[in-house]
Amino acid sequence: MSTGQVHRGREGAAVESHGEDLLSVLPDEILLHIRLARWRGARGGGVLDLEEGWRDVLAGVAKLKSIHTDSDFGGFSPDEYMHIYTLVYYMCTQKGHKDYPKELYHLCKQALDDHLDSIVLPSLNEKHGNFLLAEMLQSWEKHKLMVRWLRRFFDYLDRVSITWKSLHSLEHMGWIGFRDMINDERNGLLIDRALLKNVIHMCNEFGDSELNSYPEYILKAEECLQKEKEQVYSHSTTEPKDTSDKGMALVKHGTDTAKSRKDKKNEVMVGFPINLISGSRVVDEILGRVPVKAPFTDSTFEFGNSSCNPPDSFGYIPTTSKSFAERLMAPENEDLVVMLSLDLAEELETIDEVYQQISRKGERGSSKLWKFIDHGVKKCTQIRRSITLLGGSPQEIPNYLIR
Amino acid sequence: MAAADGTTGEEVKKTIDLVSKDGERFEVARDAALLCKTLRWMIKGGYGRIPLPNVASPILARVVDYLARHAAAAAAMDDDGLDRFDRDFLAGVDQDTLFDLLLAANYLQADGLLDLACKKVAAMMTGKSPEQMREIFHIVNDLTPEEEKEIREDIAWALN
Repeated sequence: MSTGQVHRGREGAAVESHGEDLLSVLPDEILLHIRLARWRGARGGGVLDLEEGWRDVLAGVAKLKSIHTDSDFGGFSPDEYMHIYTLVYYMCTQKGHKDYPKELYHLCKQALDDHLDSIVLPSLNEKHGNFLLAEMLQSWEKHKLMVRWLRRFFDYLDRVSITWKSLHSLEHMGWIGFRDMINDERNGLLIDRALLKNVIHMCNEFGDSELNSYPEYILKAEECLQKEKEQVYSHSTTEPKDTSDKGMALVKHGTDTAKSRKDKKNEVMVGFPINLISGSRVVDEILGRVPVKAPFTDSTFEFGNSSCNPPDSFGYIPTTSKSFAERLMAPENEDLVVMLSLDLAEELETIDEVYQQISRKGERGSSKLWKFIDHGVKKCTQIRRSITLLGGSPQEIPNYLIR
Repeated sequence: MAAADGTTGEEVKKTIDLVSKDGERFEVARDAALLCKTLRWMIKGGYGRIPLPNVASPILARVVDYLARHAAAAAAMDDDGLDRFDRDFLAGVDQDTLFDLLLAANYLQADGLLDLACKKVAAMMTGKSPEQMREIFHIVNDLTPEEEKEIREDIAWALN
């Protein structure tokens, strides 16, 4: 199977000027394959598309990264999209190079991490107060668009290689990346009530993206806002009612969503929304904390005392221990751990499918299938040992697969 | 690339142009093209022409035939004759065409056609030894004796 020649737009022309620089981000293993393919091509036959394929995929990702700085980013045309989709498909299916899905997955993850670390985070660090949160909301919108396009480009990879248990789908990985970035860097920041409502809105969007949210905080926030509203009315009649009603309607939307979700889950919210909901004394009381940079005094806020009290059993659950451990791993080991984790996930998926067959068919023919499972468990054990030695945390082998 | 007529008129364009690797254009009903998951966001985004650099025109012609028939059956909520169509669709096709259809269905994420082609191939493999499968599918054994031994040990659970 060969890839047909596709008309390349200006992006292709622009990329040619980069020469080897564009490919330098690739791991040595891939570069070796490319050089080998080039040598084979020189002798007649062979896969000359390999190097070109990598260049074009990287060029597509590079264009996508401009999403944050280019306000006129208009997406990709069907010609551009199908070209990159076809290359990813080709790299995942050609014979004899089974590592390419892992390299592509790593490339995609790296594109997201680089985008967050080098573009989004610096722009947030330059802002404070309302400007910070406004910038964050804007970054979130652009991040979602980037994740959507990456998912389209690497659609075949997502479908075939990542439907394994240990790896996040590309979409999920995108959401977690954004959440962790904010969580790690912006604890305890002051923001005002107007932006609080937007944060609640964003919490719901995170909820829609498979991340867990704890409805209680949103419900509590509504109660406290309502009490503040009552206090305002008792002291002054100047607050514009339309603005207040609009804000409360937004909170109501959040609480309605939270209530509907409350019946299904009761997990604590982990991540940035809690850390950023600050600046209001009642919210600080809910969270049981006071911002470091701002002394907690009555004169700091415009409202009087509130009777709201945070539930004692609730608390912020930090996730920094895991991320700290991850940061200690050497970069070269991290690449290897990613690939070994893919091997482990693939093997577990395979033997799990066999287990499902045994469950469906009952006793008939099961002894041979159990031999397959035992064999697979041995392989998984070896892979797990390798991952542990490299400083990674391997996925557990389910108990039902061990007899 | 032309914008969808929907931007200027009342009606959304009802056909999509699919262009094969060798440049041949196939006009497909929108509902039929939507059966390919890979193409959905482009169709819903209003694009009317989609290149398929991985599918040759003889194969794309067959794929389009399958999509049109299945979309029509879905629209009419009429399953009569669809099973026969599926059986006849792959009857008598040569092996190269069968595998090209399978790969095209995978590439386009046309799940019904992919299942159909995979079942056909699976039926050809059922009950056959490795040597027989090599003969049926014209596979050249390029493994070294060491590689073959390693692989046979790996799948010993299935051979005993």
